[in-house]
Amino acid sequence: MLLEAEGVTKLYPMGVRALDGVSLRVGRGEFVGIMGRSGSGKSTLLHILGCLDRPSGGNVRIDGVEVTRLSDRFLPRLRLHKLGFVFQAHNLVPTLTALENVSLPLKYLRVSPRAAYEKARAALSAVGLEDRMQHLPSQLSGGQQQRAAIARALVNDPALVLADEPTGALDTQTARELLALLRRLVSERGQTFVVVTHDPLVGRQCDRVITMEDGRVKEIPESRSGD
Amino acid sequence: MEILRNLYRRRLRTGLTVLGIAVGILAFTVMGGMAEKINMIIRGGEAYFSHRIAVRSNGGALRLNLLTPEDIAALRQVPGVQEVETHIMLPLDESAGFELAPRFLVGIDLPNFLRAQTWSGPEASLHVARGAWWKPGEHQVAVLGSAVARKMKLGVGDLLTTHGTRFKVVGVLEETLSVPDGWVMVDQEDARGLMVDSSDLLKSLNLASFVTNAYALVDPSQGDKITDIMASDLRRGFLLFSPQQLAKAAGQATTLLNTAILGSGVIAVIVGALSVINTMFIAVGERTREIGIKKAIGATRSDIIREFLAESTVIGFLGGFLGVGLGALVIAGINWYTRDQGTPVFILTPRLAIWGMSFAAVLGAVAGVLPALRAAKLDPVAALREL
Repeated sequence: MLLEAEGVTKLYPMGVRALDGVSLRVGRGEFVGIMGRSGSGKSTLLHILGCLDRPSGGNVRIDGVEVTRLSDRFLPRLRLHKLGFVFQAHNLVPTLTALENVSLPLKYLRVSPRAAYEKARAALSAVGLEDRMQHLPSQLSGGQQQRAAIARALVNDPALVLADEPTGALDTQTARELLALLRRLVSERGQTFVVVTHDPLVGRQCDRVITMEDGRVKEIPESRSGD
Repeated sequence: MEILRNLYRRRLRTGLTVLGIAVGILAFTVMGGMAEKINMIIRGGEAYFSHRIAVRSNGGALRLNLLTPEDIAALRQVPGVQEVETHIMLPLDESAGFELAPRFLVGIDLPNFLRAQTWSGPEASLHVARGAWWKPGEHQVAVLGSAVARKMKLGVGDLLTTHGTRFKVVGVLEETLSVPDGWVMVDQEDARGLMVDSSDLLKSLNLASFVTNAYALVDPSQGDKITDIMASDLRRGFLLFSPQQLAKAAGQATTLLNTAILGSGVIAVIVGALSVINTMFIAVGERTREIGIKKAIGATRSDIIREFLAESTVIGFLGGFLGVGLGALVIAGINWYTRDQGTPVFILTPRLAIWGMSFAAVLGAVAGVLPALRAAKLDPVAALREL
């Protein structure tokens, strides 16, 4: 298993229980959706799986690493090496060109500027933005911005890609194209993909969909992955 | 590049902040330029007086501050005195009001003056830039300090009228940026004549020879000792200033000046730093989401701190650059105006320019620390919720 969560809880002050004993297992190369209504705890779960937030209880293991035990100092490094993120919108740093946005993880990985340029350019070509590399986010359409965000999420070859409503701000046609692209790229690279959404269109693209309600997993189809 | 683009995106705010620092650094540069000039005068004075015990007469009951040939001969007898240089000093223009750099008519005995030059340090020597010293026996001739020549628009061959007498300019001294720039050097007998002509008392006394100032040239390390010997052995009525006393007085003046520069620097720090802190805090607030994205991607706290510090340092440096530039313009402007009056009042030295710019950059960096720390501490999840 690439990703394992066991009995994950998240308590907020005033006794709000955002997650209440969530357990799930995602195999290598799976394309998994997490669906549920607003407030069901799906975004909180994604943040914990993405090591952006810490659970109040339970364990999370990514690629064999028990992340809940890592200190704050190591979490950024783990995100840098193992994870890629695509958020809903306003994903890109507005003052950086598409190319510079995609190069960001490589900059933090201390990759040489020349090598970073080559990798970022290849990642942008893979999402069909090779002729928009020097554009600022404000000069790109919503779909193009999300494609650049996908290129950035994949440029460091992460084992796990996490997305939070990646099609939320897009029209249906653009959303469909973007999903097809995502699906193709992660399966080509054997990467695992977990997406939080309430868009049924996204749900239909997934290998399986985990449904959440009131901080618990309501329905969890069996993993079809072998490992 | 990212830094410059971030700053350009908020160009009005950045511009105002940069301007705030620039104004502080401008004050620092102009004040510093004045201090540098005065420091230079003091240093010139120190070099001049490091080999000299200055001797004047307290004038006694008649208040005639004159030294007689017997006095000079007595000074020469003091062990350790290599030479005694004599001057007759008069204000160049008796009707002049306050002058930033006062100008004097200095009567010298040329052979005596040139001998004395060989005993004083090279940095205290005066050199003729144009023309030459007068020949022995020549009268009504003058060698001008550079500031006098400039202010009065006189060159070699021109005539200078002072105290109702005309002098032919035979030479102009090299600029020293120190006191001798304001001197008009003439033959001692001519100066004595001017002094006697202007005073019925002196006329009636019918003195054969006198001077107003004497300088006993000594080895710098012996200055205090020889001054003590003079004080105990010579007749009463001399005012003696040892090189060490003068150096101490100069040191105090320099300290006072440097404190003044530091003071204006501190104002620059307070004003500039506050505006940088304010700007950077606003920037952190505006870019919360951007910081969240960077942290989600894997930027560490130190990555974020470095980015914000670099930005505030650049703001500081731009402010410093602009401030020193404006300061140079102001100094050039004032000097252009006062050059016409004789002497530059401000000097923008390379060290002052470098100090101003590095000071501003360090200031920017320090002012960026708190906002950078706040940015680094942002919780990525909370930051990502910002739109």
